[in-house]
Amino acid sequence: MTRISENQKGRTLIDSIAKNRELFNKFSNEISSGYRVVNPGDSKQSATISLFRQTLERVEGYGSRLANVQSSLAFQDDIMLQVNDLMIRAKEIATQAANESNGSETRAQMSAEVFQMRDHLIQLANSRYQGRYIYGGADDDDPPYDTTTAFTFPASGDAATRYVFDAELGTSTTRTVKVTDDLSITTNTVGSTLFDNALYGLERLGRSLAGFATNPAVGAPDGSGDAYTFPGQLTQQTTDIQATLALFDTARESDIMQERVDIGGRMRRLDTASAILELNKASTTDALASLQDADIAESATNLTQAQTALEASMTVSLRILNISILDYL
Amino acid sequence: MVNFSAKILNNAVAGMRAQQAVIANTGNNIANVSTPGYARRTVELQTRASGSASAFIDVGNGVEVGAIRRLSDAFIEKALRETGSDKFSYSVQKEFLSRLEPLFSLTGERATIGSTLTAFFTSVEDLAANPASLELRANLIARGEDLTNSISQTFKQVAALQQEADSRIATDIGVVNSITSQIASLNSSIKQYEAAGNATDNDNRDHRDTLLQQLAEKISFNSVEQSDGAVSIFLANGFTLVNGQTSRALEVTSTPSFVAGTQPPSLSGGILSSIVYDYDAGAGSSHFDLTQVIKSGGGSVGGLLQLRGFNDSANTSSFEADGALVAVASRIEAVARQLLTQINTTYLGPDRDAGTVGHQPSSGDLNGNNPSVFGLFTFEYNGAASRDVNGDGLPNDLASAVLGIDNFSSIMQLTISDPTAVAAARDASTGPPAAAVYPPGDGQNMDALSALSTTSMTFTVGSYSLTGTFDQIYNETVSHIGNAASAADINAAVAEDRYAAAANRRDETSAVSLDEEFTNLIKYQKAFQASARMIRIASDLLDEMVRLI
Repeated sequence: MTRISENQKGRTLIDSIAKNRELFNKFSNEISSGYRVVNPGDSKQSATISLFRQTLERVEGYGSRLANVQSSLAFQDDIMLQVNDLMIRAKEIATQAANESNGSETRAQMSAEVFQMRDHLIQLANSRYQGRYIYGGADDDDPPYDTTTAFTFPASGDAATRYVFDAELGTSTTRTVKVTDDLSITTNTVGSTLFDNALYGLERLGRSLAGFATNPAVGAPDGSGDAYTFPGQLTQQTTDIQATLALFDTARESDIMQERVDIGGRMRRLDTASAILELNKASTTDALASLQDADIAESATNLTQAQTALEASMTVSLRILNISILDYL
Repeated sequence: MVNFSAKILNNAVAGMRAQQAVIANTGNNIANVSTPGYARRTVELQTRASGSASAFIDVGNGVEVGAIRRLSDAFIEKALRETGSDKFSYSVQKEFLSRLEPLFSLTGERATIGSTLTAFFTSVEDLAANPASLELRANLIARGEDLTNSISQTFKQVAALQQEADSRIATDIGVVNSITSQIASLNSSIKQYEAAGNATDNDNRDHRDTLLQQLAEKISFNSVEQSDGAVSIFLANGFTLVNGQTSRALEVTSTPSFVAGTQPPSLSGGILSSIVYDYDAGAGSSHFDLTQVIKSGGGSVGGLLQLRGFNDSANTSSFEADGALVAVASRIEAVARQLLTQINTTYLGPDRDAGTVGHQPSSGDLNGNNPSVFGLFTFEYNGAASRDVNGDGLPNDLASAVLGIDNFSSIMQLTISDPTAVAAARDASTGPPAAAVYPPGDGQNMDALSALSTTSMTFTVGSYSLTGTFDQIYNETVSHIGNAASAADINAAVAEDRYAAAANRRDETSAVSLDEEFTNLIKYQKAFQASARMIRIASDLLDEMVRLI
């Protein structure tokens, strides 16, 4: 027969109340914090949980960078569209001006519009996105096109102003941004590859129209700079004007179109990457929740059970402690 | 002719005396119902021997108290002590690990080394995407500071836990010494009392068993009761703690020359303590190192030693992968060292001047300057010798272990505080000397840094070595702590159950049951009343006889 001493009774009751109290606390903490796993010791999957948390943080970083690159590319595409329109208009003007029914004076008047178009083009080439010059490469804190270099043979008026792509260190650097673990996207294009042909075309057209001889062989668009002598050189002027048509075509068809196709391609890759990131985020969040978050329904059920057990152990304690042999003696 | 009347009276008186003794003993049992360590006692009654062999019919000479016996089982007591040792060893480990765990919290709501590492590399990637941005540069600096803070804070808290374990060992050894000296003096009392022909010295034995139990909560030991009643106490290697009336006081020392084997690394600098016995009061060679044997056993001191790290003759590294705290600290330290070497080397860029001593930086900040020679992270060392022998910003002697001061985790900082001084760009030239630096929009240096987040490298500190990325090493650390903590939880729960079972067995045998005592009380009371009635009957008999005269 087992002897039950007073110490045993006390210990057993205290132990069972303490154990039930601990369970009760555990489940109520789960419900109030929303987490089943708080510390590494709470789960065998703690390393996985930690990895998922890191993944989520990285995905968030990628997501914000990706959105930034997307809006930058959209901005660049818009610029390309404007340059494209400029080239179409420039070609129209050149075609119209090449008609010799326009005399040298009419042509000189047309040059003003061409130089305005040139200034517009320079504005586009010197566009800033978030405060930085997009087409400046790594040297993005000053405009990629400036007027520091003059023509060898200066003309007068608007025709004297020469815009040249900055040859400083870093202007031909392209930058890539990591938008997912395995995908890096180029965010910029070297300005000279996009705008030089367009600029040469506009400058040469403008200078020709303004009455200054241009000769590509001497150095585009730096012609001799000498004024045409009219009417003798009207035909030469016409030839020079016609010569710009090819430049506008090259600018539009190879430079701009190609860039737009390229931007479109990058945008599609970004869209795919964005979808993958979203998927990654959603699946990681789900997996993390299933590993770490408290299942409220389950926790609540457990809590109720623990509460019942705690109350039962207290009731039993009260009963047992109330029974005394002294009451019967 | 026997005088039966006298016999009746005598036996009745003997009965009353005996029942009174029994009732008094029951009263003592009831009084001690809650006394810790009290073993209940029973009065052993026996028939009183007749004076001499008689030819006459002998009705017996009544009853007498034979002995008062203490109901205690040496084996059960031993089991209780052993399970007690385990329980206290595991529960102290559980307590420390549960305080370590929140430093590696998984909720993401609290800054951990893992979350600050990820945030740091994200800030590097952000800056790589937009290198000239002052906000992103400031963000990189802030995240870098978060990272160094979280590394040094986490390391310091682990170090503080180790320091606390070390101090607790000293306190506990003080308690051990006090207990062994009390046991020695109880040995002496018990021996004298019992040798004087008295019965067993129940009270002192109770007291001694309680002390043995308390001793077992501190350290593991073997005990043997000698024939004279004294208890001898030995450690597992045979070292005598208590022999008869003498006890040996252990010493806690931090003098390295007293220690056999290598001193464990102290995470907060200084020297950890060892437990020794001094045979000869003072001289170094007379100290006998007991740390290893006490560590191998249980009790709170054993548990604390296992957590804290311990001396081991085989260990020659400054960070041994033994002891949960040291193991965690090794991992933190490994991450800190790789940050110092890999990030710093990459941040400084390729060495443009390989022929000369020192690292010629080849990366540039917003103002076109080369970065500080100390790279992105730096460390302050307050000792006599420089840790950076050739002035290249890298701790040259990382590979060679220097005891106690190899804790770069606790002293690493971010070098830069000015956002413009962050070197995001690379040098454009390919040969010496470092020349034109790319303009502010260049992010090559940050690209190179961000690549480190996915680069696999070998993290080594002492005997800890693991290859992986920063994130993987951190996750391995989390998993290591998780496993250690859940193992400690399980061990503690098992030890707790075993202890409870042993305590139940002990109480079943030795503790007082009021039900039993009160039932017995009534029995003895009735027996006393019966004996008293016998006196009246004897008196009646005598009266009858007197009336006959």
